Amino acid sequence: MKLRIVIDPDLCIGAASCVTIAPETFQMNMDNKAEIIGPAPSYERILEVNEEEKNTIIMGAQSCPTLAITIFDEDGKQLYPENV
Amino acid sequence: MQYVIIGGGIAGTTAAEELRKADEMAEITIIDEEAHACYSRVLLPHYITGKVLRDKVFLRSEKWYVEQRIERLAGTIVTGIDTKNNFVTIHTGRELPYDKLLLATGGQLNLAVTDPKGVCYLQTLDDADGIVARLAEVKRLPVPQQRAVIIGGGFISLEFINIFAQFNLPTTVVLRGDGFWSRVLSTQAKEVLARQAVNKGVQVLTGQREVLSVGESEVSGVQLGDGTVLPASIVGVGLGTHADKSLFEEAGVLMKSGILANSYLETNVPNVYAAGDAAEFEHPLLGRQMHIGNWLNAQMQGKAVAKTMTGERTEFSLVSSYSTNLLGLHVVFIGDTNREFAGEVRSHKATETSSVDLYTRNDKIVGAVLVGDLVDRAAITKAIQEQRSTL
Repeated sequence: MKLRIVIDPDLCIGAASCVTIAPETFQMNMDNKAEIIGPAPSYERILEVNEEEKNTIIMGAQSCPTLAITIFDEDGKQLYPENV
Repeated sequence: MQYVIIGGGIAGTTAAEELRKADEMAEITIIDEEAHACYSRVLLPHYITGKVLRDKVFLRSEKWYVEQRIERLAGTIVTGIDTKNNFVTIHTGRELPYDKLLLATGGQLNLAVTDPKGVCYLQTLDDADGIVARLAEVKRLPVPQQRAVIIGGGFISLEFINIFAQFNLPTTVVLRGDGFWSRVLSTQAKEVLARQAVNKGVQVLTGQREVLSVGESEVSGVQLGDGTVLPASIVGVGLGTHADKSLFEEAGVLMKSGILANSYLETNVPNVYAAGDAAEFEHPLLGRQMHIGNWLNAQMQGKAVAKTMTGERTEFSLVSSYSTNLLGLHVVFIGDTNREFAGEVRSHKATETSSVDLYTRNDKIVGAVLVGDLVDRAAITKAIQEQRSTL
């Protein structure tokens, strides 16, 4: 399955909790903002994931204290944050 | 099974969520002093400066508790804990029996000596609402009266500096010690931070004792030990937190700076657990009792302790870090940065605008403070996790 991950660098405070929880997916850049690992790291990326990877990525997003990470499924449905 | 959780912050709420996942039939109750559903304290500065709307700070809706069948007793004070007969008493006189009890009460604010109207703390959403209201009042004053003073030199102090800068308030920071985080940082790190503050127009006064906010009906300034008064229409206080001991000690729970727990977050009392900022727990990698007050630590302890409470005993060994900034200069704390327990604090890098210090014990890296240069953040975290002596 595919996930679309979007990071809002304006909300990110560099706490790096996502990196601690999901280090295969997230890293910090030189501006102390989280970004998604890939050939060209960026704030938005579509990733092919298995169920376990999906859970880890969502847990990484949930760990963000500023809700800077949004996760969508391949139908565009927002998986996280759930509408509070 | 009846679970009672004291504290509705991120540790307590995460624990409740995990308890529900593990035990469909359990009765789960959160006792929360605060009126609000769980929200992100870390988002409060973003709310105050208008970066996010107030309703965006909430992490759970009222509906969520209902759906999860988690009873949340809002605005409720615990008046007694009977660990012999396993029940908690709240201020209304109601007694809540428990099979397992989680203490996730966070930290109690250290208050300023005097706090007339206009003296602000920053711990709760109510505090943030108060700051928003006060800032609006301050911005209506004649410009020369739009001045701020901050008392204290830690994380909250930096938040206040950044907030007041957003509102263009000339600001003076009054520190008891010789710099920011005076008992934690190296001289080099303190100098880099002080330089950044001064370069950005913030006045920093060190070595100040007997500091008093003064004013009749509301604050008009901050009086220093020598009698000087710094005029201010808003004062931000960041003097840290302490543990409220009496309730727990009367219940037979051992405490030091926090609630003592082992690496499974179990206290000395059977069926009583601790998590989050309130817990002082044995850290298996760092090798001592740690009292950590950061978001990820609290959230992940909530998850771990719920597992242990439902029978899947889970050791907690996360090396957490926290990050903030001083007017754009990044500051990151990783692991154990307590000087008292460090064998040696090694300067890893030092320039005019940055400093990286490694805190070691028994020749292993256990913590680090990075100011202005975060290149080695991942490598340092890894070295701590792997209990290495070099990067």
